[in-house]
Amino acid sequence: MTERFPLFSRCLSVFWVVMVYAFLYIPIIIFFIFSFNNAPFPAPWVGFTLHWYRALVYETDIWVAVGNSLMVAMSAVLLSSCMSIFLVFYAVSRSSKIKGLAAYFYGNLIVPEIVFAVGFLGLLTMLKVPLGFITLVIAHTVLGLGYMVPILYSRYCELDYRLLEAAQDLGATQLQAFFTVTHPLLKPSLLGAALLVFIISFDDFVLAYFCSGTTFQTLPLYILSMLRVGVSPIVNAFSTLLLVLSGILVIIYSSLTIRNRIF
Amino acid sequence: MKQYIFFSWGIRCGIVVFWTFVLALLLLVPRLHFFERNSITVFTWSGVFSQAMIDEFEQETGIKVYIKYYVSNEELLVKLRATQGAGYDLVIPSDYAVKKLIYEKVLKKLDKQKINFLPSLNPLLMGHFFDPQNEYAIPFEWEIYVIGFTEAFKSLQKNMPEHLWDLIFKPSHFGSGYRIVMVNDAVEAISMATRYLYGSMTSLNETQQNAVQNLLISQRPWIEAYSSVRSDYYLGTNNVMVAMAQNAEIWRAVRDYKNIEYIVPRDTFITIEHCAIPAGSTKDDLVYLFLNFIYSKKSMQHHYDVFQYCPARIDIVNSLPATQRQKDIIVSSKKAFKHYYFMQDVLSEQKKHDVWISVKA
Amino acid sequence: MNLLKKNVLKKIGDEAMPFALGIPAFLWQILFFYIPLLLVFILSFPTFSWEYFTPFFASEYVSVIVRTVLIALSTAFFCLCIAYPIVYLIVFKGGRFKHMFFLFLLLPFLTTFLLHIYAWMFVLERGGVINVLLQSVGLISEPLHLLNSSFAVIFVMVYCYLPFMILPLYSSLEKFDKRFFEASYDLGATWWQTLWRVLIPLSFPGIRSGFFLVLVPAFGEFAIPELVGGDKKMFVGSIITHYTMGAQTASLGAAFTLLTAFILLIVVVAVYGITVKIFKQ
Repeated sequence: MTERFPLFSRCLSVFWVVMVYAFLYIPIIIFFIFSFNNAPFPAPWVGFTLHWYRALVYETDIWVAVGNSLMVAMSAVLLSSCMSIFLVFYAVSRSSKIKGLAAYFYGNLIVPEIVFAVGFLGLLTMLKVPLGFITLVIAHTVLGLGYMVPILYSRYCELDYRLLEAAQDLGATQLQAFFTVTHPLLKPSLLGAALLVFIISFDDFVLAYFCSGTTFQTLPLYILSMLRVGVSPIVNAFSTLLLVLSGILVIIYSSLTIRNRIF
Repeated sequence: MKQYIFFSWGIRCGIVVFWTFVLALLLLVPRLHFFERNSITVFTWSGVFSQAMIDEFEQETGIKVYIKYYVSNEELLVKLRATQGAGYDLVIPSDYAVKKLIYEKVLKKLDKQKINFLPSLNPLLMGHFFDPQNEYAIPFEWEIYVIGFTEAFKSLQKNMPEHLWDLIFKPSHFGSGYRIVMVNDAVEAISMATRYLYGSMTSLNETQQNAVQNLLISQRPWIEAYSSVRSDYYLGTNNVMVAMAQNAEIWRAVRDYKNIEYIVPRDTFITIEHCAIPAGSTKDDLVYLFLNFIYSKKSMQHHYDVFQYCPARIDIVNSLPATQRQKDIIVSSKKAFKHYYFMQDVLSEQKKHDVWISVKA
Repeated sequence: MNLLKKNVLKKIGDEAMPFALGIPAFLWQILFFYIPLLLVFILSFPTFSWEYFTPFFASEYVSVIVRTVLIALSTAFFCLCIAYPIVYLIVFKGGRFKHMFFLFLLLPFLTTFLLHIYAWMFVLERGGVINVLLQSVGLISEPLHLLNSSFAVIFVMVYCYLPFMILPLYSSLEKFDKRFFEASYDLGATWWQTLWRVLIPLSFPGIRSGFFLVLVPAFGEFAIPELVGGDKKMFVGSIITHYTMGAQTASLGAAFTLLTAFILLIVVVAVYGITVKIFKQ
């Protein structure tokens, strides 16, 4: 088709790309525009004001929720990274490879979050554990393990085992060999997986709703309660802020990688 | 050699036990309650305490207030039952929930000596069937269900139907553009349908239950959304023409949006939100300090200003920023109260779930 | 003798240390994942009978489950239809800007998922942007009823789950060797034939993981139907939440959860089996 109808296929491609990006960005742009709306509710448009951004700074609830989300996400990432790395270390140190190691952790992704949440809540109720920060971190770490272990282990399996053997032949202990040889090679995957787990934990809503919903407010729960009760353009302002922040991070990241490619 | 294998497995078991112990400890940490002595935990639904009020209390007394939210009275019941009344120092149940909580023995009797505002509470709100002596719960705020409507509806409809509840349950001659918001709570919806069909009932038999279910299902074509908290938004943005909601919401809609009006059916429902202390609370004096604060004139006025729920105190009515019509409702006479009915919890737990799910299936 | 003991101890130490470090992950998994799942199972069968399952064979529950399955499948399908062309275009026609395009494709999803729901509520409602635009241009006289409908639910679900489809597709198509294209054209195939006979079968693992990464969470979704569907129709997730948060018997909630998890498993296996059959020919 590309050869027979080059112009048509070109137009179609451009059209599709534009449509998809428009679909993705329309709500964001509208959000952005209406965050400047001079009225107590997002629509219709009344006038321009920066009032909501100012109000956002003073709205303590939302920042407390952001702080909570950050704390939970960082703890979950830390815990799951450490445990996964050490698990890989253990797998490395064994003389025989454990074939199904990663499969043992696939369940975390295959089972719907809501099923896991119900079971976990049941366990906590049975043991009479109060819901809060720690229970949520535990739940998110389970999720994190489900992402990190398969990624790290499959990456490790792709590595050249002879590197490790060579290191040990040259006299390194297991620990030394692992940290000087395997670990740097795994680092890109580790960072990528950690970032993924961070985003998933920060954004997670189902587990937070079940395992900490009424006692510990994370950002998604805060937004949910705002959506249920009544929204104000403060949320618009906040999301614009979030987007600008992510955009800056993305630009920094992409400029860094491009530089790596050139050099 | 054998020794080696024995050692090796022994050490492995030891390591497993050690880590299991550590992980189990993780589960115990939340139980230690690192909360300071000087704090109380309030379990409520959103729309009761504003952040400003809490901040002022914390500043005045130095007592930290932790607020936890529930979405429905069922959730409150489940949580209190699970912990036998421990874990929270103050709860805000609705009238029929108070009855259940007293029955389950998860509430503590109130020490009337410690509260200084009892005489100024509206006597019509006290002494009802669920707690005749108000030994366990005192009213904090109350609301009646009213029907709000937009200007579009008013121009469409010259005369209101005689039986106003027809607007919700049987608006057959209103055309296809007619949309309403209905309450999103199983007990409330079933209660409304029951009273519409049968009047006052304590329980329903099978045929009656099916009739109620069918009535609620028949409503669906003209329901835009089920919502217990966003009716003001739906009305104000013209997404619906009519909304059946608590008076506070409709009054907020009238205040925030233009061209919204409301009408009060002569026979309507009332909900009284109470303050009650769970049996497992150990911080009584702090709780009474909090109660005296939130019932103070200033706090109640502020509460009305933000949320527009009818306050339980009757001596502040004249100083409220309310219209005459609103004030008339707040000081409703005994005669008017005779037409305010409480929600009836007429079905068992399971049947209630079944009906509600089949309405939304 | 001492030397032997020393060697043995060192050997044990060498083996014990990695074990000590590595075992927490396993224990965590067992304690906090497998035991909760087992608990769901146990709670559903407290008396070794099916009594807690029978209420759920009533027609209303069946229709809820069927609706959820259909919507989850359609969400996954639409995500695939939207994501595949765009990822194809980015990977193979993107050139130098491939990475930029990809990052900007994912950028909107770095803000919280609930904010997107809010944004669409705003855009789709009666007085929202779409209706205002269409009315001012004159295409329609009455505002379209977009929000609080099944259309809105599927639409927003596709929007929210799109990145889960894009990521596996991207990683799968990126690894695709472009020389396959050349080889295929050399053998006389058209672009269309290459697409269906070469590209799709070879990128199939990516398609499959993307499909399931969307299908499984979409099945348990309850926030989107509540917020943009007007809470008019219950989904599996809504019922589970209803029972878990507000029911007196934990067993009923657990039983329903188990039942629906089982049904999801059947659906997944069925879809897997069907697709394997189609692409094995």
